[in-house]
Amino acid sequence: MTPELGDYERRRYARQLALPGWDVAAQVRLADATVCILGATPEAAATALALAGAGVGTLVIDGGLADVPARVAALTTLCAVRVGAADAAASLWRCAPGADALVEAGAGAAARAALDDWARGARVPWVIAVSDGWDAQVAVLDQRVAGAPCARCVWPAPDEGRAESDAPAAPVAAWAGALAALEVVKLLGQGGSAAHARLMLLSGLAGDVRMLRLRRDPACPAHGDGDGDGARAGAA
Amino acid sequence: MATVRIPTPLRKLTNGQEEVKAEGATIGAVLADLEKNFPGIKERLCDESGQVRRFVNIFANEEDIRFLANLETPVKDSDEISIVPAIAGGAA
Repeated sequence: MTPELGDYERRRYARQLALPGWDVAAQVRLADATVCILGATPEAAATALALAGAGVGTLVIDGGLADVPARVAALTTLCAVRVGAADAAASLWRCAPGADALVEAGAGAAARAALDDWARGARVPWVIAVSDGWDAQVAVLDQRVAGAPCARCVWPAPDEGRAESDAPAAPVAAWAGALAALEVVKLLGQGGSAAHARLMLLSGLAGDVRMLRLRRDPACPAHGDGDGDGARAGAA
Repeated sequence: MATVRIPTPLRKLTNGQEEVKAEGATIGAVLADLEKNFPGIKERLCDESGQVRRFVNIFANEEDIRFLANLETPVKDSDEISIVPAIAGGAA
């Protein structure tokens, strides 16, 4: 059956529907989708607003984001919003089983590890969007793709370096959040992203973006055949 | 000399420079040259045994050196080395 959009949706998304590679079916897939965003950060706020504007049907957001009534009001005019507990990422995991895609937006190392496990098991695509000072990182990990790397393949011990992180420049955080939203739109609307298994690095000072390749670590313990040390075990 | 991209947390050691040049035929040699010019930087990147710390990734051009030859990965003058720390976030 051909998916349909109502007159209001056709008007609201008219310019998006005119994009090459985008159509009514893609827009309907977004409208039917639930996206879970972890983190009460500027990156998460930017992701939520961009996804709502693009037409995602339901957002599950961190309670910390809902502390700003105007933000929630803006989101709820665009889509359905479910709110997790303010301080415990664990409560969002209960919402996650209904999610079609996930975004980790600076939720912390423990949340990332738990999300990694869940996304890998459920074969759900997810995007990491974080920023630090003048730099931002956005990684796309589509767990529906055979041989996809997981977060542990890339960052075996992210918590060890937490003291290194600085507060981000606001536009840098917004860039990371908006790019994460773009990747989710492609993952859901088009079924995949050319940025899968890529780490996009913004250097806000230099004004450039680098694309780095992410690979599955054959020794990653998360995939059941590793010894816990990953590729670093063979370090020279 | 190869170009090395320095992340925000380490720029205190490079006098604020986001991009520096370093000599060396391998990643290990490049890190040693960085340490010579910017004392203290290698300790931030490598542990006591000399291995790259688990919360740091080093890329030679677009490839993670863990999937090349780690610290023995060859380096050419035209190469761009990216030092990429894990950013876990967690602050509202």
